[in-house]
Amino acid sequence: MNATLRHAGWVLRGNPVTAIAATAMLVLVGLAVAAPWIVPYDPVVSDVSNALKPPSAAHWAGTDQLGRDILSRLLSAARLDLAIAFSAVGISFVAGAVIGALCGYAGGALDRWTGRLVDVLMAFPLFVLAMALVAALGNRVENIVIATAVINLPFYIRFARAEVSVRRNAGWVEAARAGGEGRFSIVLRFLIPNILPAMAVQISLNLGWAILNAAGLSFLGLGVQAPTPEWGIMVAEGARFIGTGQWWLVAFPGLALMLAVLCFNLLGDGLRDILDPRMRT
Amino acid sequence: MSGSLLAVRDLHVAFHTRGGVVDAVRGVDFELAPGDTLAIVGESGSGKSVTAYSVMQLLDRSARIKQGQIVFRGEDITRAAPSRMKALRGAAISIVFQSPRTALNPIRPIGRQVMDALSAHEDLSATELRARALELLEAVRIRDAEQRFDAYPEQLSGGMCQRVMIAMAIACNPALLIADEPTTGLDVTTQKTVMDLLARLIAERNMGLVLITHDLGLAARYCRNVMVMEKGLVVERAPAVELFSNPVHPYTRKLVAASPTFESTVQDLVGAPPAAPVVRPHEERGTPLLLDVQAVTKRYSGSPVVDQVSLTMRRGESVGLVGESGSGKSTLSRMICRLIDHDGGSVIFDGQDIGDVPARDFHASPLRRDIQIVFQDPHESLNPRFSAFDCIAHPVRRLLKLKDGAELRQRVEAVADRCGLPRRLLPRFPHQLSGGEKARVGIARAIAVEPRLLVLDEPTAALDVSVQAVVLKLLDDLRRDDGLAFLFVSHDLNVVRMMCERIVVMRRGTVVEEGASRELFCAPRAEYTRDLLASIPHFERRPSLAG
Amino acid sequence: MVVFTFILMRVLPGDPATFFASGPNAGQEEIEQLRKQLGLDRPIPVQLVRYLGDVVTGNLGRSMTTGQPVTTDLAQRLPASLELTFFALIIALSLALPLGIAAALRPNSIIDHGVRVLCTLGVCVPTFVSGLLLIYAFYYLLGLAPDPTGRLDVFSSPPPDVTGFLLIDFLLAGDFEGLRAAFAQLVLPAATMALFVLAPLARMTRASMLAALGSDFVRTARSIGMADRRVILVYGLRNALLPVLTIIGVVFSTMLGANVLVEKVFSWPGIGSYALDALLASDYAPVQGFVLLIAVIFVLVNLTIDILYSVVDPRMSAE
Repeated sequence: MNATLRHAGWVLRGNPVTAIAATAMLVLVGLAVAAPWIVPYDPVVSDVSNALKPPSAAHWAGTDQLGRDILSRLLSAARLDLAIAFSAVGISFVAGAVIGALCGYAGGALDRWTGRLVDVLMAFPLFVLAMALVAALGNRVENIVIATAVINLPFYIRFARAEVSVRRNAGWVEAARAGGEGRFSIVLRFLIPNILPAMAVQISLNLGWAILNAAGLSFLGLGVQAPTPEWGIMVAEGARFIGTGQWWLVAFPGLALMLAVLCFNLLGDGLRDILDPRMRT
Repeated sequence: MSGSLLAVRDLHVAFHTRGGVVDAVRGVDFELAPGDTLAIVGESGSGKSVTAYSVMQLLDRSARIKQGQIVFRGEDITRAAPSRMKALRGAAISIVFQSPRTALNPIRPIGRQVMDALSAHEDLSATELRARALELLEAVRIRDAEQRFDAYPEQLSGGMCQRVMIAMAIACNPALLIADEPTTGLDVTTQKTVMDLLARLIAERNMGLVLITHDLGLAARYCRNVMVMEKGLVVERAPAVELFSNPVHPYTRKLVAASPTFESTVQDLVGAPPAAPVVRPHEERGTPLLLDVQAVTKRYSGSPVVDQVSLTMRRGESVGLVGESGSGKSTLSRMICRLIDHDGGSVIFDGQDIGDVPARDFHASPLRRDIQIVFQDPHESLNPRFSAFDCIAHPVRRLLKLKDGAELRQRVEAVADRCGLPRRLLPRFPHQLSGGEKARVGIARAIAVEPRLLVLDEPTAALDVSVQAVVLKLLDDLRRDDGLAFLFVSHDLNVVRMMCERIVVMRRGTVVEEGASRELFCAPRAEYTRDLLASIPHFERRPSLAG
Repeated sequence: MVVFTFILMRVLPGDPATFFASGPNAGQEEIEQLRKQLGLDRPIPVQLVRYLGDVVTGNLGRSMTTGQPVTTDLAQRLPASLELTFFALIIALSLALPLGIAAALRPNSIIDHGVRVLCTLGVCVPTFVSGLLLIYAFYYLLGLAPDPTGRLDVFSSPPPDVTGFLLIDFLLAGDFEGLRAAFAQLVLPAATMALFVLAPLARMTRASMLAALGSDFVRTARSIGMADRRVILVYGLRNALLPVLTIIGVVFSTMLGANVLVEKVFSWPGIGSYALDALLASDYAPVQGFVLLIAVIFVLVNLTIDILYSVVDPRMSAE
């Protein structure tokens, strides 16, 4: 374990961008977790006399149309957005890895059909699919999680399938069979652990994407509802005031979204570089 | 500067990698006269290919020529301008690459690619270009060149692709041809026809040849002079005949010794004393055969890959299974190991029909431990997340139900010792081991559960010859001392001859010939076996050195 | 896909019959009758067949909010969405391909790093944020762009309807003033969308170009002394285009999804904003129609990509 940590440290020193992204992500998660205790103002109580104030010493990110402190709302929103992203990606990762790995290892007609289905699904406008799902299931936060998980699922299935099928006939897998290992335990104990590092890249990239999707749905008025602080809703509320010059209502939640997604993407790219320097793009 | 076609003087090449600067070539000198042939021989990492690419200025971006001089027909081209190099490449110096399939553009018809090679240097009309390209394809003996003209590389065999590559290389009659492992990855019989073609073209057109190869036999057969490289240095150079009869440098000696001749034994390869003939304990009458394969068949999408093949093995016997790619030998070996199911026939092991148990359930069979396998490529036959210890311990845990503890440790260490794997390497992961060490781990894993039949699927095909020699010696010892029965699967008839008492030759899913090693080798009956034998690149050692 | 839409319809909350009933006070009897009339009492397969029949004859139901048949609504709004999407795709491609190629030709140069930064940032900014910021900059601050509502400002009159694509229609009518006005409205939303898909396109172009240039067959081409331009175009770019084509399909479908967001931001009267309004008003027929239409477009786009693929990759047609 110690050696692993040392190795990670050594790798991060050689990839400063990744190190910064990893640190930023930790800070972000820390802020989100601590949000209820560190916010300077209550994020939902309105104070109309203080409405639409530009950023100042008292309100670092200004106030919105109801006089609520934008910074406080941003921090509370981080908690919700990250929770949605993590739980959605978590669900789709576990389900996708197992389904994909089993199909990839089994091969045959089942695998071909799964592959085709996943390809079709992935090429379909997934955001539209998510909208339709939220519409079908009802306007609730859980359904945003489910919709996001569903549209992430094909990525993991495809990825796990591809990674497993290139390894399916590798010498070490056949050796494990000759060594008396059954089929399920080969998938669970041999193949999945071997594709985990590669999947970490996918997870990191998908977290960013999941945040964008959840915020997009909320922006449209699907899922999370006002007055709950959420980045997408905050942008939607601020949109009305952009034409009159109150830029901070949109800019700060937009910036928060961008930074969060940037963190995850950089981390994902960095992980990919570390795992396979040839893949650098 | 008459006399010299190409002169390389004190060449140093370094690669700038993330891990730092790596010196790939450290002072190489050689000279080549017009029409002369030189082989640069070395194992992987010797710098032989880098030397060749330096001449063409086709090195990676990360490589730099640090010092030295490359003179071509009296002109210093070490740092020649790109435009100058472009004029020389193809027109004066050409190269034939390894792995012809990837060296050709997959989405361009082969005829057009040959035309591209011509038009790079000659100003011809489209019809003339086409006619010349056709001539070239015919010159490299592509049958029905007219029809094949518009074919794509994937529609041709590997050997055919290499001919196209050769046609492109000689298109503008260069004075120098560099061939970089031109036949690696091709079947032995194809290998011979491609090399013969290359040699004939070289002679006809009076081209100089630099042949880069790891194969001493190939070098001896096709080149007048040989230069041996090791770790970026030239260790020896001499006319081919002389070098093989009287190698001076220790590395060359080792390399020459490790390359099997038609007379050598496994012991010769590593310079060990001759071994006594194997005496097997007398078998009682009525003892069942160890393995009795009866008319097994395997079909993939309808067509049989293995067609009604029968094979028997007695206890402790070593049998070689020889064939080229597509012969079905690997499929047969996997059916015997019960890793895949057969579609017909039966596999009887020690009197028990093991074909009844589906391959997917065979892992739970009590006979699982009796049949073990060593895989082809040691690099990919070890779980990258397991240490060497865990790799070896895995079958012991699963099949002998040994729990972690002193007993397991002892067993793993004992088998590692047996395979010549130092105990200090046991905690290491595969990427921290060399090819030879990985091969030893693979063998140790297979024999750890004391199987009665060991299937070896091309166990040395991915190894350098000097490593191959020691691994073969290890396997031979296991056979002699432990009485292990071997099924040795290989494309290399000569290696099989040394390792096995009996040989079975397969081609296109059927058995072509079967017989005792020596007889089959000295007096092959089937036409195909004779072809195979004739194709083995080899050199004859002078009597002074033999034995 | 049609079946998929059907299933979606079945899982949508509530009983369709209650929506079609005269009002919230409709009696149980009336609902029952409606159910029978709509065929909802039949077994699911029968309903599916009926639905398929409806789809084939172009009957997608009626929108409650607009009171018009969904088919009519969609037909009216589709050109707006397509015009936006195609225009954005053209912008994105004309920027991404040269940038990607330039970056691949000089890896680790300033261009390469610039492209990388642009790509990394591009995918991180959600379209609805970048759209709003563009409005702020070009409409509020600089005053260069017109009021971001709809396809035409209030002072221009629409051209005679020929194709439904305003730019083309104005051009056909010879009305250059109108063309300018329509163009001014289109630029910001199209730029927003283009910005979003620029990154994956440029990234893929660069990666596949790098892979092609580093391939063995390009080395072969160099080894026979072929001219650089020819190596890059014939051996590099042509082979690199295959993965780029694939990603264009994916990008197009991403854009269809992003349309909803961009149309909302710019009050663009396309099918996305239509479906969204219907969705928020619990008016499901238009949503189904929309999903179905998207599915049809998606199939057409993939068909086109397949055809283009076989043009670029002769192996496909040779078989």
